[in-house]
Amino acid sequence: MARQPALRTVRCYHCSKEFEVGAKAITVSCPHCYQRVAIEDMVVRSSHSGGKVQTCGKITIAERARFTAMSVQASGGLEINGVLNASQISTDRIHLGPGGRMRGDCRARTFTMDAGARIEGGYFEIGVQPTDADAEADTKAPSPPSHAA
Amino acid sequence: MPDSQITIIASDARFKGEMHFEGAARIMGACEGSISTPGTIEIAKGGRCNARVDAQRIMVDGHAEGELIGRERIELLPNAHVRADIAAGNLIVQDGASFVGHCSVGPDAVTKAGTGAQQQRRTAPETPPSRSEPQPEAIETRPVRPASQPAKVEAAAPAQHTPPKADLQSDWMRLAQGATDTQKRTG
Ligand SMILES: [Zn+2]
Repeated sequence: MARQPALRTVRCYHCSKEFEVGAKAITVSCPHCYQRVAIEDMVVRSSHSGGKVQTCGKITIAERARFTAMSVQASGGLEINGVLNASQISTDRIHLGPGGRMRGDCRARTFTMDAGARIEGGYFEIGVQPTDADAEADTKAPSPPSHAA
Repeated sequence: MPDSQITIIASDARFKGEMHFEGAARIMGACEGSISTPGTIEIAKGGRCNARVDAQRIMVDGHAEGELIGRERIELLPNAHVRADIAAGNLIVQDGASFVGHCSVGPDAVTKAGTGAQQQRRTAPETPPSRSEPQPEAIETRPVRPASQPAKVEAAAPAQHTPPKADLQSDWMRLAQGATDTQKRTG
């Protein structure tokens, strides 16, 4: 019997639409907005500063890790066991572990936190469905590419 | 606390002003103003509260606006619609609840709220994020396996992939490139 290729469903962080990708893929072009997206999971294990961090996968900030960024978009979820400082945080679900600390404006579908975790300020939008206008504002969709990359 | 010791504001009641309870209160009607108690305040499904609520524990399953200070915890139940600034010792947001507003959670958050949560502003990171060279060793990217695939397969056969192209825009892309190159050199 032929083996089915392993697929998983990811949500584009540009247009918020879902599509299927190969289980081992790292970057693809979104079939809806044609933008290039990273789909890898990511683990931060020590101190790190970044500008704009985006992935359709999940971002995990390990215990004792400290991550400072301008914006963090992880449509596969965000697990915070260390420290996260970001101006803009956007994800599907956030979990703050017992030692987790976060600061920054935050938008997510679901939010959970363990006892001992801290939120050190920020403007939160939890459980608020993104409007189509939001998705369009986030997506400057180019016309479909006329040639293969 | 038994029901007999709970003050219930029924669904046909409307209150405006300052209220203080010594025990628990369940709000099924509408309240406006300020509510305080050393016990528990429950804004039940269908209840509406546009007030500054200061309590040991706050449970919301209705609509709340204004400011919520839960010294021990605030729990947003599945029907909760909250547009308020929240300060709490602990925060529980159940699936289905929605919350928009400034938020501080932790032991310090409640004491700060006592001195005026209105002073909260949209926050920026403590230190401006550095645009310096990324540190690939700080970040580990890991191949994702489908849920149906057993973990031992992932360990036995790490993903063979080509590194992302150099024209990708985000910092993450450059980090992923660095991590991948490192893996290739060491592997
Ligand atoms: Zn897209």
